[in-house]
Amino acid sequence: MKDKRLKYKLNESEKLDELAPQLSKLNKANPFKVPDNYFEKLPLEILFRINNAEKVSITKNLFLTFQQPKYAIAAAVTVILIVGSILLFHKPASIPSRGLTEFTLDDILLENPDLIETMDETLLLETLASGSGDELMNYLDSTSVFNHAITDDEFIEYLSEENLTPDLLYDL
Amino acid sequence: MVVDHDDADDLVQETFIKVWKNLDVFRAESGLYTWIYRIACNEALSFLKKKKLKYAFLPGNYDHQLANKLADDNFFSGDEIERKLQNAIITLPEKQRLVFNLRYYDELKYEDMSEILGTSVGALKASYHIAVKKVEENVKTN
Repeated sequence: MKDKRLKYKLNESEKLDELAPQLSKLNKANPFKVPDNYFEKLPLEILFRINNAEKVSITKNLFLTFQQPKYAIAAAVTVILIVGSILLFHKPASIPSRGLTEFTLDDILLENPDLIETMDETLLLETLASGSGDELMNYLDSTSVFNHAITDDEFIEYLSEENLTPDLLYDL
Repeated sequence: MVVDHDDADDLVQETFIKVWKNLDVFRAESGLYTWIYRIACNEALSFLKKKKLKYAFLPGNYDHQLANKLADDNFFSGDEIERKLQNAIITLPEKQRLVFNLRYYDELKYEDMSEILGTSVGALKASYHIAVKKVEENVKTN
């Protein structure tokens, strides 16, 4: 048996000599190498991949289930019913709508009081002079700066600090 | 077959995963090693098919890419003439390359190759003959 195999191999080799003399002279060893300890690590890597594949396959099976027409249709109908019922029965709280032109400068300033500080002085005066600043004036009156009543003592103290006399005020 | 070590490593792992998963359907009609060989060959051929498809939409073909990989391969330990031989093998069509590798490097019998590849012994002999001629010619000219 062994002789037969040897003879078989020799015949093949002889044929290769005839068929491809260049090729038959070359080293037949596989020239590709593997990293050190490759075959020692390989079983562990394969086991790791098998375990991972099993975890993924559970999710995949669920996905495949919903790919079947009967389950896909049932899922689609359920989604449509849920979305439809949300749209029908859950109306959002109505927000009063106003046209953009209906907003006055007063409204804007009342919503954003900080704007007053950045506002151009001329524009502020024009607003007040045009009479459309009533609400703004009310707002300013209500703030701590303007609603504080000045007592006589405070007024006299202010005058003395500014080196002003009551006579001088009368002259004005 | 695939030249690159990472690709080969992927294929080896895929092959053994398939072996593991299909052990229960393995019928002892054929030898275990021919069955594993068959899985490995199918994996390699489908891998190359996918790569070819991918490179069909890119400039340059996959064979050219393989030749470049071979030039930069750190795991290739052959000399210049062996590199020429590998470059010649790369130019063969996939199935012919497979037949050449199984016969030339692995020294499989035609009967076993026939079982692995599902091709008749006569057709395999003819395929190997043509492959050897092509490789010889390529090595001579380059």
